Amino acid sequence: MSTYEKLLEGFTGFTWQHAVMLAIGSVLIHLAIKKKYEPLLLLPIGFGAILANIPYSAAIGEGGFLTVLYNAGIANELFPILIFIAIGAMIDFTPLLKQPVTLFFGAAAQFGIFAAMLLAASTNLIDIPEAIANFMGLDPGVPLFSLKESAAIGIIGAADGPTSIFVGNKFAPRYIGAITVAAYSYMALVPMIQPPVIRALTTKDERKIRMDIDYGVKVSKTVLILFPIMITIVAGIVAPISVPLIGSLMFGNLVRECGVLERLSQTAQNELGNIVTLLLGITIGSTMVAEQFLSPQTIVILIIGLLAFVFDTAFGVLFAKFVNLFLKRKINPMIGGCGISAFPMSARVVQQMAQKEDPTNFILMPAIGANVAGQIGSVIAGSIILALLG
Amino acid sequence: MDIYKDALKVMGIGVGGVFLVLAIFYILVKLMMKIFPEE
Repeated sequence: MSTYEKLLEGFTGFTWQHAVMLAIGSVLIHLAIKKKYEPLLLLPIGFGAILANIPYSAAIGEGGFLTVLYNAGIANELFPILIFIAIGAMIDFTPLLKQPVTLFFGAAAQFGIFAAMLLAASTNLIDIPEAIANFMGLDPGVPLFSLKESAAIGIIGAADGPTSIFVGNKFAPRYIGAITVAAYSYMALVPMIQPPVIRALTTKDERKIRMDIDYGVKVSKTVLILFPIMITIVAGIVAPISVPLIGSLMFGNLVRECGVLERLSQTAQNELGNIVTLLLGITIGSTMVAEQFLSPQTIVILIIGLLAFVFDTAFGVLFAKFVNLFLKRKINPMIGGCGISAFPMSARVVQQMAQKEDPTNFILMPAIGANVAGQIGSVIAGSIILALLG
Repeated sequence: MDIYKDALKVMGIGVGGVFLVLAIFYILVKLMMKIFPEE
């Protein structure tokens, strides 16, 4: 290649696919800055997508710093684990411990993961005419998604970025960009996704149900310290594959609750969380290369991901309504929707909905209990999927 | 069709498994709250 051609290779190599990806990256940055949608993640992801889609970008490929970061933190799943330590240090499990029944909402709202997985797998039942398959660049007769890929798509419904990355990277590395973008985007859109679903499934009277803030229960320091240890041991024995995820989450929480590691707790919550978030976002963005991202599969992943959030919310609310059939002191069924682990956004959304019906109604604490239960539930669901299909 | 059937199986075991594990956590939390009450 002549020097002249070398100078112009950026221009000559530029295709419409690059232009689309640069536009997508810019839209993510716009959403992060203007709309404040998960700016901590969407901005680095957007910029990472731009860096990866400049023709012949030296940021990716052999020796590229984004590839180095990918191999150092995503391929070996180190970044999601470190993020979990930070998240664990940020979570206060007291509301859950005061009202352990909320654990079941954390379980119920994981239904969306499995429903979405089923939906992704069922795309293989659709008989796509050969002409359309060729037009869309699909191989006729080849399943759109394998079972493992379907599971990785379903995990978007965990509403939990690190778990989505962890499972996605193991089962569907070629879709990791789409899965992560869907997971974080829909988490940011929880205030728009959840309210219509919750309203459709509850009556005005149900939304007005009041709940005790703490049921007069006090939680001892011993319980707060034992909780992360017990959870790690039990979850680890039930599903050994869950140890990295649940272990790192609970390690962060133990550092927070032990009372003798205040400095480390602050470091995990702030410095560690910030540094890893910074690197995680830009590295994930760099996986959004045009050849892989601009495919019909990405559109299907984005649609199924959205449905996963809807299923999560719906099943959580319906489960809470079912539980109410057996309770004397009814619970506000809206907190069932908080069982997704979009923490603490989902709890805030439900509190706002409750106050819209009755400005003196405060259900934030039980809602947070269900929300942190969702955090545990999503990790367990991800681990069970890994154990079943890994 | 096989993928769909396998997905159904994973769904059944998965949903049941999540409930089972969190039910164990529920019992553990109840126990811990009883054994170590706030003084």
